[in-house]
Amino acid sequence: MIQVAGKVTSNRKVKPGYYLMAVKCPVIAKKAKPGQFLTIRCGNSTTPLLRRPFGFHRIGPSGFEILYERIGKGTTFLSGLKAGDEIDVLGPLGNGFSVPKGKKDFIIVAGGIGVAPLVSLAESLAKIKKAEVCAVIGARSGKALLCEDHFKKIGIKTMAATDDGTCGKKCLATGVLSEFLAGEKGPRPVIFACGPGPMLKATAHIAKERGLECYVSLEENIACGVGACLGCAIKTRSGYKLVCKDGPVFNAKEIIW
Amino acid sequence: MVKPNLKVKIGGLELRNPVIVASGTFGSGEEYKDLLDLDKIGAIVTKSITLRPREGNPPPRVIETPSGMLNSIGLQNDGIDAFIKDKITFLNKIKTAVIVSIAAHNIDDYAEIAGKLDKIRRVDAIEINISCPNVKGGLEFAREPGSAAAVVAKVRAVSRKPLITKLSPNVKDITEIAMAAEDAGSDAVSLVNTFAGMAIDISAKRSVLGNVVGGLSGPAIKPIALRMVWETAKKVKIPVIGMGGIMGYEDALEFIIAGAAAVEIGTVNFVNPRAATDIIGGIEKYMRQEKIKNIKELTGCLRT
Repeated sequence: MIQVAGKVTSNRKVKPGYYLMAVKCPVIAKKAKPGQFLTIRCGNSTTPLLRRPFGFHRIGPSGFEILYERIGKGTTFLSGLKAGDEIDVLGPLGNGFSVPKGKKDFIIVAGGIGVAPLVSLAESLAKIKKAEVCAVIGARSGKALLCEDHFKKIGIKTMAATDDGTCGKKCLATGVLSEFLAGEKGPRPVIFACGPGPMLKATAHIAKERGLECYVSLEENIACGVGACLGCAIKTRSGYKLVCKDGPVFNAKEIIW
Repeated sequence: MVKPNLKVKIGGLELRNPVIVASGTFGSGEEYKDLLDLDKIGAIVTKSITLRPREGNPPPRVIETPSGMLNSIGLQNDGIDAFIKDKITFLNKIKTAVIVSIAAHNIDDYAEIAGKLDKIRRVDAIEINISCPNVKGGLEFAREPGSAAAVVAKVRAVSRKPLITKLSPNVKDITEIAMAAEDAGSDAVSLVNTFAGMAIDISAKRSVLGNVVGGLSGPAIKPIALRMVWETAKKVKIPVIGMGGIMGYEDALEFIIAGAAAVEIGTVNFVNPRAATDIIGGIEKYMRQEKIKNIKELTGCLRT
């Protein structure tokens, strides 16, 4: 992990309330893996105080992108940054997604802004020879549905679900997942999921019922990000684990929901 | 001008500078080894250790509040034997002073942990945490002068290491507890630990923290902590280690001018992992500008 100044190269609104920021930061980009995260200090004042964590959305040779929702003081600060501004970045942190060897079938399940770290994963899965990669993206409405075009562009069969039916099916992402996996001869993909807690819990349940491998990227309030403060504990079958150091990606069967 | 002298003494322990990273905010040091030069820090206080392993409090354990944060970690640790087995090897590789924080529910446990640490050369001093607000009974010993003195006396009897007693601000008069710790043989006092606090999620009508209440730290508490350090430094002869919301070298200097011989920094380590070395550099620069040769000239120099 490295703490370094990154340079914002672009920062734009992609949907109402959602922003995409590109940061030039070769030292961190070179080490980052899909599923890992970084933290950003949002300004120099004491409000917001703690650094804010973001999954790597896309990783390139000289920088990375983060996709974020403007929901609080930290992300409001970020949404005001312009190309050329410098930010204090710490990363890469945590463990990334580990793709089980020999597997060719994958399905990505994303809910809301949880899609953000799954794009870098999708890009790496799409490079695996003869891989069959599908994705289900869920959102409140079509206006909040993210990354659908990007997934399609890299050759991933993408299904959408929205709460209000303005895009894709009018149901939860897990509803589409269940339907996709239905039938005795249905596909047996490895599941990678990120999104709201209830969605992850439902995804883990579906995976368990069908005996599928499932990896989830979890969120908790994070203070240090480096495993020192023990603030981001979550309950697992082997006691408390830290989202920042042991995660953020966990095997779903380890989690006590 | 010659290089300013930043060395300070805590009991028999000399620190290269007065900036110490606080317990619970820096793990055992190893977590930060890639992020700053650990050898430049005055001292590292390791995460509080109890006699037996503790799993800690249910999540969520941290939440940001205006200019501060609440935590309720609940003294999660693997116990003293695992600490000695797993953490000393790394600590042997660094040159910084190591202060081990210890916590317990009863006086005998404090003594047993201190006894085990007494044999370990790498442990330069012990910080007796009598002030954790996040475990049942954690504040018990910090609340009354008599109970604070009893813990310190029992640890003093089994330990030759310099002892620092960490005090709680959640008391009627912190100076009385400090004086009791001094009388019982403590070589220094460190203050303040976090203020008991809480935050509520109004839609769920539940406390945000899994443990309902937690400890408030960060810049929000600094003025109160500073006042407590000033009052305490006037009452005791032993060194006072000041802490509470220090974000930059200016804050550290405020505590030193108020009477602190050294400072501990906590929450800021999460905000800026390089804070310790940044603050040391800032203090040194200030001393050059003000033509102060020795940091000791600054301690308690407040004009009133």
